[in-house]
This record gives sequence, C-alpha cells and structure tokens, in this order.
Amino acid sequence: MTVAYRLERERTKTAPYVLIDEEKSYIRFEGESYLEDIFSFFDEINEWLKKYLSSDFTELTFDCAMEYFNSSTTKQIYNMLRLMDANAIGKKVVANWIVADEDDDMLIECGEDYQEEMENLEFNLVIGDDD
Amino acid sequence: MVLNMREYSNKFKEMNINVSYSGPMWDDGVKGIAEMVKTSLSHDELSGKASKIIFSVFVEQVTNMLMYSAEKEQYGTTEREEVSTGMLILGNRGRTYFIQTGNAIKNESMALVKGRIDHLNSLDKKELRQYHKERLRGENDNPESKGVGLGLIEIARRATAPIGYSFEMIDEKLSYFSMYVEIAQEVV
Repeated sequence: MTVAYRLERERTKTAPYVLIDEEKSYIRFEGESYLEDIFSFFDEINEWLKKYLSSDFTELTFDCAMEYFNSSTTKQIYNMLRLMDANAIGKKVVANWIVADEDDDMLIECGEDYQEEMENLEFNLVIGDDD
Repeated sequence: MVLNMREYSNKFKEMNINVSYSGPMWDDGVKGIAEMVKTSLSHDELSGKASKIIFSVFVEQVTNMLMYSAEKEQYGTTEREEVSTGMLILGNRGRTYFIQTGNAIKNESMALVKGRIDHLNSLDKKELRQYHKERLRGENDNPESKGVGLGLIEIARRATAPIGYSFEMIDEKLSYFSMYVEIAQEVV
C-alpha cells in the first residue's frame, strides 16, 4: 500500500500557500507569486500531478485563490490546468478560480481566459466570495 | 569626487521619484525593492486595483531587466556568481505613475526587443488580451525567454500610454536600453 501524498507549504511574501492532499483529491493555492524561481517551485507540484492524473483516480478539485501572481506564474498555472483538462474525460475534475475582490479585473480576466481554454474539466469562476 | 547628494536628492524630489535603485540585482535585493515599492504604493491614495496594476508592471519590468541585462557583475572568489545590473525608478506626476528601467543589452537583442515593443504598442487592449491568450497557448519559441514574452504583454496590457523606450549604443557589443511605462489612475 502506498501512502497518500501530502504537501503543505507555508505562504511567504513572494510564494503562495500550497496544499496538495492526495487523500482528499485536493489542491489549493492561496496568496501571491512573483520574483521566485517558479520553475523549481512548480516542478514538484507537476511531478505529483502527472503521476496522479495517470493513475486510476476518480476526482480532483483545485481551488485557486491567488491574490496576485506574475506572468511566469500565469503560464505555470495554465500548464497545470491544461494537464488536468487533458485527463478529465470521464472523471470529476473541478477547478475553482476564487477571486475575493469583485473589482479585481486582472484576476477575473485571467480566470475567464483560462476558462475559455478548458474543454473537459469543470471550471468555476467564484467572484466576491472569500470562500 | 564627492557627489552633491542634496542636489541629487532635490532633483529626484522635483521629478517625484519615490523609489530608485541602481546597481547589481540580487534576488534578495530585488525582493526587498519590491517590498519597498509595495509599501510606498500603500501610503499613496490609490485604489487596491490601481496599486496592484502598478505593482504588477513594476514586477514585470524588473523581471524583463533581469532577463535581458547583458551587463553582469561577477561576485565570489571560488564560485563566480553573475548578477544583472540595472537601474529602476518609480515615481508619479499627480495621479499618473511611471516606472522606468535602464540596463545594458546585447546589440543583437536590440531588434528583437524593439520589434516586440513596437508590435505591442500597435495593439489595443482587446487585441492585447487576445495576443496574450495566443502566447499563453503557444509553445516557447524563444529559448532565452522563460516567460514566452508574457511579461512584456502584461506591461502593455496595464500601461495607459504606449511603452516608451530608447537604445543608446555603448560599444560594438552593448547598447543601453531604457524603458518607460506610464499608468494613469483615471484610466485603470
């Protein structure tokens, strides 16, 4: 029997809080992401994600409650979503794009643009809700 | 030579420059400057939205500078560590904020940078959003650029006037590249 993967990373000024809870089929991002070596940061997450998505999983929920992130993070989150989307057929894969401030056009537009690109997973824009 | 700091400081005050830095850009230092910019913006009368946009442009401009700066200083005795050098300022004229960066770039990168900025300046906001989406979807076509040029698009999307820039030849290898971005609060 393999132990369910779990990763929990504290939020810093420039890197988000990250939770990966395989037992609950759940990923959460929260906070800000900029001026970090984003590639090594996402490598570990993607490594697990790829493994998980190629297993016989049934569901996955991704809550993304970011407040601010830079352009390289935009690309990294996009890649994650694409990976989830490509493996979502016949599964329950849900991405919740949570934007606390309803005036935050930057985050809302970004969510809308991601949403348009998704074909298989359920992408929800959750605006003005602090969750 | 002793620099007349008062003159220097007055000049900056006159130009409403709130934050400035010139020198090597270590990761920790850049994060510190970012923190300072954030704090500086939080003391101004800005909406959350406007200060986020200004901060975002600042971050992308700095990242761009770190990526393209060809003037690297070497530190360390055993392991040679290369650090980009450059200059940046953040200021405001009333409710219009400006962020300016300066760094040396290789002459051969000049055409690429110029071409990219000119192209972005020719697009309206809607077209920029579309272009951003295309670049997000596309594969990285420039191995030198880790962000598939998304940073510059982000700057153009948030800027409220065309991106200003200039190149000044230093020698046969390098040119000095200045970039100027304006964000008018009324528009964002």
